[in-house]
Amino acid sequence: MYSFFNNVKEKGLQWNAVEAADRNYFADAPYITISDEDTENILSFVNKKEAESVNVMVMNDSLSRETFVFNRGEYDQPAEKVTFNTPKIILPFTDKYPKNRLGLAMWMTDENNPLTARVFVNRTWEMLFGVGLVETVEDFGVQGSLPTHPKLLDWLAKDFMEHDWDIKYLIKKIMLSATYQQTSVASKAQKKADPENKLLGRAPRFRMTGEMIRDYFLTTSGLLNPEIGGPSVRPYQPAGLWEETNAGGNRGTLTKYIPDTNEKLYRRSLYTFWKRTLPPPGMTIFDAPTRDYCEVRRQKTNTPLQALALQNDVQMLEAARVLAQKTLLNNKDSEELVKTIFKRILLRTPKEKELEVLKKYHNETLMKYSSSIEDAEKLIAQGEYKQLETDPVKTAALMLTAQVIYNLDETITKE
Amino acid sequence: MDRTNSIRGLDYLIFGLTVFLIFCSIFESQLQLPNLVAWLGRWHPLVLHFPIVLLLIAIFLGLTGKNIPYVLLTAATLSALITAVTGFMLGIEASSKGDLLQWHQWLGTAVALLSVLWYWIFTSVAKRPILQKIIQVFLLITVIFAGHYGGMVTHGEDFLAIPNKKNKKIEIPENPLIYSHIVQPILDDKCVSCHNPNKKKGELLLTDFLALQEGGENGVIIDKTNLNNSELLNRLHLPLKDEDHMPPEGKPQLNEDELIIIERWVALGASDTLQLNQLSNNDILVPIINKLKNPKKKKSWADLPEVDDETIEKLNSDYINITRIASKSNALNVLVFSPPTYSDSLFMLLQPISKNTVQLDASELPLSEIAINIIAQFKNLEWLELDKTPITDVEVEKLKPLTKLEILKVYNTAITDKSIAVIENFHNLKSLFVTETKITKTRLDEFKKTNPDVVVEDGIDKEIEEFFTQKDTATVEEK
Amino acid sequence: MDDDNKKSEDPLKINRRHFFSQLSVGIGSLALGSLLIPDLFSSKDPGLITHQLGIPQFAPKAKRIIYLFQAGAPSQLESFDYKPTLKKRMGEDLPDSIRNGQRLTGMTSGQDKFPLMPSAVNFKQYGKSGAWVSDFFPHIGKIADELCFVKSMHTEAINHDPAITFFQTGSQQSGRPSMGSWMSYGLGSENKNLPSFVVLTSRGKGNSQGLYSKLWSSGFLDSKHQGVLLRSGKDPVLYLNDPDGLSRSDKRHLLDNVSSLNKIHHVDTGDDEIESRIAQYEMAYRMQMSVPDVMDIKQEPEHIIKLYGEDCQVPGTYAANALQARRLAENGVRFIQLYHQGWDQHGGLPHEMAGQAKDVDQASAALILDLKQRGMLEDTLVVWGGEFGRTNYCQGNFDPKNYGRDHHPRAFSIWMAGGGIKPGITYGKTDEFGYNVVENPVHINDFHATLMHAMGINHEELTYKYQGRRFRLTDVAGDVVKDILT
Repeated sequence: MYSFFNNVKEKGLQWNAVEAADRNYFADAPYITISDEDTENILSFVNKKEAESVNVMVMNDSLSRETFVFNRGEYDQPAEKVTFNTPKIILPFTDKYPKNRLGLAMWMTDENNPLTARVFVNRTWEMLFGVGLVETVEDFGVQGSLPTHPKLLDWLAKDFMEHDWDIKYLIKKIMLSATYQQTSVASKAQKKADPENKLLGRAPRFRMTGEMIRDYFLTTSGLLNPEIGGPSVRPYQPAGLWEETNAGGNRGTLTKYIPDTNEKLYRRSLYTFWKRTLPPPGMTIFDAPTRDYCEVRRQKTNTPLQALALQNDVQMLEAARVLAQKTLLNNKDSEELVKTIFKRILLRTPKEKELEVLKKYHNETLMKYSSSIEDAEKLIAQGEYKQLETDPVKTAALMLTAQVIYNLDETITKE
Repeated sequence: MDRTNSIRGLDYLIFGLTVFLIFCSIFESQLQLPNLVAWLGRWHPLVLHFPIVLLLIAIFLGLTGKNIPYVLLTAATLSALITAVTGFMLGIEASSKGDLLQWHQWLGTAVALLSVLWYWIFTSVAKRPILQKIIQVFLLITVIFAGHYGGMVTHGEDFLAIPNKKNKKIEIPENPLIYSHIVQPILDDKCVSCHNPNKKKGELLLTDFLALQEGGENGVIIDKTNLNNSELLNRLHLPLKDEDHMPPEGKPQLNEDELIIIERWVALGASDTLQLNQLSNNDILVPIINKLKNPKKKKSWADLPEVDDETIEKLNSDYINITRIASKSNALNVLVFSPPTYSDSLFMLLQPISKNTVQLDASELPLSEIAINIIAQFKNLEWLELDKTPITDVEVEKLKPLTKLEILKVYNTAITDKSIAVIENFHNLKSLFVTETKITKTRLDEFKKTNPDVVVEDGIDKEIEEFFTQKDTATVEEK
Repeated sequence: MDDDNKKSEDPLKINRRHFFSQLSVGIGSLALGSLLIPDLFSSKDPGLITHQLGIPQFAPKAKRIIYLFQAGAPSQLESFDYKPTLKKRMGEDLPDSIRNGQRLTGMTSGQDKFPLMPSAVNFKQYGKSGAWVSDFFPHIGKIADELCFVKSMHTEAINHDPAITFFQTGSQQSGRPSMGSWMSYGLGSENKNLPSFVVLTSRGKGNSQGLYSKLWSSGFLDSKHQGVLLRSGKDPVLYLNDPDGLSRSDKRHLLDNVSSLNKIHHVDTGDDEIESRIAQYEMAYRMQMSVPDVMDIKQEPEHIIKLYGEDCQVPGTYAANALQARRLAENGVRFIQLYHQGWDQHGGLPHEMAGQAKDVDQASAALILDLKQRGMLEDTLVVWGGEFGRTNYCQGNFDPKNYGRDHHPRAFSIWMAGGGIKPGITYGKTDEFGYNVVENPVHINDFHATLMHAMGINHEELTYKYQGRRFRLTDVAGDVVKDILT
């Protein structure tokens, strides 16, 4: 398999990090530059400002090299010579495929390839249900688990291929199903009969990923910038993290973290800039992989650091503040305030008991802050988003009420 | 019966081997074997497993009235013969044979001959089922005994005996003979399993003093003219990977103390009359032997009452951390951290595990009398940390019952000389930490003198501390 | 037709797979019965039992580790490995018989000569043990009788990133859990109000290399085992401080409401994960108290400040971190990892190293003394060392007053103290050139195995199954260095 990718002319290592930054590469430059012409025609999905050139990572097959199996993995002990091939047991790599990476792509998406569609469908299922039909989404081999619903997996995969590998179609298909739309409330009997919900008798409950949680806060507070594509952005990050661990001085290119401003702060987490030696902590705290290893299935831990991040990350506080201010502006009826933000965040009407707790809390905080306007002003000074014209005391009280709701288990849980 | 030539060939082979075996057992003492044949003998431990298994299967089939496949019995008989023959060859290598080996040899031969007999009847026209059964029963018995004796030859006579450690420990008298009370037990423990009358590897016996003087096939092992160059020591000191290292790799090795004992004993003339009181007081052997005389009482956590995981789990809380010292042990380590609202009742919770707690860290807690009273009931405590607590002499007095204490940390407290009197009664004490207390230097020095084994830590050495505070490297250069 | 084929094939396929999977499950569960570990955090009692079942396997000598990592690789030849031969043969080329094909870094592979360079600093023997220590480290010399010097460390990597990753995770390629994470995974935390694995960083003036959060990452282990970077500013743990305008009692009030709503939802959904969430919020609340308290050096008396050196009052210095480390150890943190950057002396070694040594010498030694007087050396293991050694020949211009040394993986020195390690000994030996190990080599894997042994863990048995294979810190190697254990 490696043969497919072993086609780059290597010039050998001679530069250090600083020189590499000056674009001296050890091999063919691993990117293409996209011009305006490209984006107008074939690459129309690339979000590129006009007259700006964008480098996109692409490997250049500059020459064909011989590939060897290394004896016990030692780089200086080439043994058997090998060439392009794939495991026959999956699907033989016959002559109908060109002997290059295009061929590999064709092989992978061949409708007779038993894995690709199933694996993809399974991963989509896992994203929506928390657990894949094959629980070990990364492993369909002998060490992996068996599908709980093999026929469903087969059918979904086949259906997916028949509909032109249309991901949107697939997700719609799953989400519109009765299984997906069940309630996640587990009765005692259900818990006893099927504690792990293998039979899908109820909808699952699982904590969302770090990216989802941040996006959720942004969306519900109305902060989200829905722009698609474009270069990475640098949202809020506790100051000094990069500076403390770099090599000192100005060595290397990523020594100082300077957060972006304005709407770039509120892009989806997908676009967050990723420094591999020090990933954004807001993501890793919520189990985002470090990207050292390929990690298909994320852990879903529950730690005190997560509680702290949800309570005190500027991004989260700002979301609560902005939501409070926007609600205050749009709602003259103060009775409805709490109900409105509850609905906004949790997308359901609060139960009477819940409303009672929240209203009581809201009133108490109102009282507290009306006696200390200064504190209220300090509290609502969170984030860069412009302050809307609202009364600081009311804002502070509603902001904290929103904070309470944002910190509920239900908010960060998909159910 | 239509039997092919090859099968006939097998018959001849069995016959030939049988004759050879009988010849061997009769003329054994006169045999001189070439090296190559002797080498064949080395295969005995490998091949011997075949006849045991094959014969037992065949006997089992026979006795339960099932058909015995011809091939099975042939293979069994052949392997029995080969085993017996190689056994002889191996036996010839052994210089003198102990009882065990003799017995093993005869029984092994009997096994081989009996199986040949069985094979002969089995393949003959008249099958004689009754006779076969009788042979089978005899064979079964001989196989078991031959195997058993063989096992004893290789692994030592008491290999199959139920281990009985207590009997093995020899009491060391007040003034022991270095050889018989100290050295020989080491040899018994680590060497004799190979160098005994039954095995006598390298023609060397290490079972008694005389044998030791005699040496083995390479001559004497204790060189009286050049004691430090004795073969005995050389072998012990070779690197473990060396083929000639003793005991061989894989066998229990001598520990550091044992090595020193043997080395020193040889250096002192390898005498069998030397006694402990004849050694000079600073002889390296003295402390080692004293240690052997009073073996440290092994931590007897095994005697602690059972404590189940559920109890531990229930008592564990945000401020109390209870863990087993080791996963299968009933000894517990208890750490108490200061909760925002502390009260001594916290210690009451711990009463169910009072006997199991061997380590307790209650430092930095605002302990009062009640807590100390409870702690005093933790009779098995070996490690107690009470530093930075408001305890005084009164509380220390209450800790008197904790006689098993080995480590006591009471620094940063208000205790005075009075407490030392209590502490002196902790006879198992190893370390005592009394920095920043009101104990006077004179009293502490006195304690140190009477308890030389106890490590007393009463602050950083003044001279060193001065060096640190005077020569602050961070600032010294700038001057 | 296609469908038909499938049908006729399917039963067979499923049967065979079924059979094999059953088989592997059967054998697996037999063999692994003792290793099967329930997901502790989703269990009913959130956070109460945090260690792995069956660990520790035996009574540990050390309950916690303080690792004083000298990032960049301090030269062994100017610190603890005294080589008078280098002085005698100064300037001579390194004999090929000694170099023996050792690969070089890109920085000296262009050099055509490898002139031997003696230490610019003098050595003295200290204490009863007579250990040689250079004049760069007078304070460490004073406490030499407490230390166990290992002069025969060797590693496989020749550059910082892989070497330091190897040291911290047992693999040159990043992605494996770090040592501290393994300990946290195996032993859990002693104090539930603090993380069990913390990291403190500082930087000297010397040439330094970057640090990466992967060095304290939990790899494929649960992220609760990842090292928590304690920072010197007002937010020692990320997101620890509440926003301005929200008092402690306001926070309590807020959390009380969060939990009462969570409880309502728990009754509705019946998902026990919610209970665990409530517990984590409580622990976070307690951490907001306990962490700043532990970090508050101002509580230390004058004579302790003096012991560590005045530097320790400046947050973010090595001395401050060393003192911090003791406070964390006292409060039951399992693994305290310090990094001091700036030991990469490719040039200007005598001057730069003097500065680096000044940063760490007194504080490291003070830490040992301080732990000792508190009886904490009984159960705390301290390690001091870098990721590899430095060459005995000169890098760049040959100038005995101002030279450099390149990376050298074949031999280097570290020291350990406390926690079941024999004090006052020197283990292992290098040849007279300080280039190769000639006695008792200690590989990184052996070092890891030894640390784990001190903590009561059999390194071969603490494993984690990930992507079809069982991983351990020592991977497939490692022997416990019994000779240095008490």
